[in-house]
Amino acid sequence: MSGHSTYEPKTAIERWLDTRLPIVRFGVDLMDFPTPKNLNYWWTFGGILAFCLVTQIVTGVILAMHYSPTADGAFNSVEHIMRDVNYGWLIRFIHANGASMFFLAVYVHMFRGIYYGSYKAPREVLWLLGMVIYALMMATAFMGYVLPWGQMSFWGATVITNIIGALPVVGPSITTWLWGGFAVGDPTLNRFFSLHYLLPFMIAGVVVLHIWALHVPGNNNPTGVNVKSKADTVPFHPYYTVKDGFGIAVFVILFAAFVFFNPDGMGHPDNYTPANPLVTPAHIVPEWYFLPFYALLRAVPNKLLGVLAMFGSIGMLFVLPWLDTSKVRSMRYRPMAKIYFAIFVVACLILGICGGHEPDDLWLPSAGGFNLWDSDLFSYTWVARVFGLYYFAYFIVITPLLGLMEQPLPTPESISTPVLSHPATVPAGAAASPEKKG
Amino acid sequence: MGVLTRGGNNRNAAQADTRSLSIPSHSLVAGGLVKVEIVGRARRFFWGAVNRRGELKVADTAVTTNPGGAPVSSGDDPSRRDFINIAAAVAAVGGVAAVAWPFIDQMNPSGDTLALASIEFDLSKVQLGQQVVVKWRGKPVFVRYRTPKEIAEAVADDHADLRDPQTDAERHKPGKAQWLILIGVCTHLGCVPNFGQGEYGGWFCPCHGSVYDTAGRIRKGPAPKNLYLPDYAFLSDTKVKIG
Repeated sequence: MSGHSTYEPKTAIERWLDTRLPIVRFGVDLMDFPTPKNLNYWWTFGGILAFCLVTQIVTGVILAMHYSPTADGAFNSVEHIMRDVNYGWLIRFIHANGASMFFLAVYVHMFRGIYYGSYKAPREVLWLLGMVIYALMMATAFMGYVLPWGQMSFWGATVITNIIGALPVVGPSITTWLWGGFAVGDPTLNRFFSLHYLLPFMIAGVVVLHIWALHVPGNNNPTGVNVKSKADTVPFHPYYTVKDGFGIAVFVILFAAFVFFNPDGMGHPDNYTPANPLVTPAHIVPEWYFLPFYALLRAVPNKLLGVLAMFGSIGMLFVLPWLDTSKVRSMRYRPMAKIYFAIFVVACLILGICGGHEPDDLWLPSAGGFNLWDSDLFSYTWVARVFGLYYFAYFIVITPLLGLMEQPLPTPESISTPVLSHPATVPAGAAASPEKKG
Repeated sequence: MGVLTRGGNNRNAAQADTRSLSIPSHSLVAGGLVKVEIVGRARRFFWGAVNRRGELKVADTAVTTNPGGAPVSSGDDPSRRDFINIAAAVAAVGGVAAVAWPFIDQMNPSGDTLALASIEFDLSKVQLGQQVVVKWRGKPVFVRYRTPKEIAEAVADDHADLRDPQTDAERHKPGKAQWLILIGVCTHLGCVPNFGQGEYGGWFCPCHGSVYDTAGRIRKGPAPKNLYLPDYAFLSDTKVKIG
């Protein structure tokens, strides 16, 4: 789709370099990449995510200059960064809130991909690489949260590493291997620091593959219709550098609002207490971006099955391209799918709320007292079960069946057709032969 | 001896065409290399490979070594080349595994961590009905001096519907029913259960709501197992060695 290169070296030195390392050509072609002309603001989150990754790496490398990855020194070194290092507070708050911003953007990016069918042929590998990035992000975020070595760090690490212990036979030895001891301790912290530094660069590597896989079929677009001609596209620069730039600017406003006005808003006060292996905090919760998965873990009354449900919920996303039977990419033309998708988004949000509450808490305190099986019917446990079931049904039942049963709306002939014949902007008479106008 | 078929404009073939070729018959195995000597010209030879149809391949020239005959050796049999490929792959995998192991095993508990494997504890410090938490291998160990009432409750539930059935007698050393020594780590996801809480008067885990009784047996909640017992031995009536 990218077509032939339009780069013509103008100076002697450019010609000299172009025959040896065509890096300028590479950059020019990248900026010149033909991009569908109808991308909306949901498409700016790719650029926003690149911005987040760079922010996290830059602030992270700086924090590592002042941080000490030992059980004795970690907590104090973080306080040292916060109190003594010049602008240390700013850099740490950018890094800590940056993780949340990164996940916010990635969730929007993923929901956008699901809504517009961006995972469907020929973009399955693009989607899979995105899921690999997401998995690496989760591992990185989890290990990063351990580094301040507060109570939440320690007990979060304990709970999550114990999850692996649920595996039959090999579980306990793997857990010991991960810990480097018989509990989370100094060796654990040290290796988590090492890996937390490594993984972002692996993410950057997979991002390169992700963009490569994007540039083979080219961008999907809100209509889901393939690009038919040059008239359907515009060069990436300046059209989308400007649009992405504006998206990033708006995103940075939100980012800055957290960093400067509520820097601990997404953290947990218990993490300002140094880690104590003998006392578990009253209420352990992961960061908000893991809450839906945490809710699934707790909704299942069996340890191993709970762990499988949690990992399975992420596994669903990996196989989504092969579960979807619909030939129509964009849900804009799928009236039923649109509704189920909306419920799916709500289900994810409600699972997140469930993950933040104690399983036995009642969501309707005035009700309650009616016990169903092992928990109160009005407890968050049952809410998580109902919406957890929907989560899985959405992938396993709804998505495959809907593609076979649903009657989609007619899709436009090309990207340009709906743009030029939009009923709200073009008089009825003019819409009859829009192609002649274009 | 072989008959030469001309399969291209190869110089060797063109020259060899007019002469006799000497091909050692024992080397006619598919996949094998053959040294072909041109008779009458001292020290002139070239190398060829015998393919599965029994043809001698020299660049793009095929020399039929047994015209009209059956294949020299069956294509289904593992040939010498397959053997070399498999042997090389196996050696490589073995080598990678041998090199990988130190890089994997380095993450297991180190020597000094293992050296801290046992501690001694003086039981006279614990009051009746009290629990003392000792740190062993980085984990909390509960040392609980149980009251007769707590012991009786635990024994009474020996045949209740238990998830991980164990009698109270299996949970302590013989004749030491008052001393319950457990690893204070919830068998669900590793939190430290709170002493004296929960409806069975044992422990309650604040993380995911597992409830243990006064023998440390799981009674309710997501945990699959009873609280684990560490290896321990009574050195005297008031001294216990854990680990």
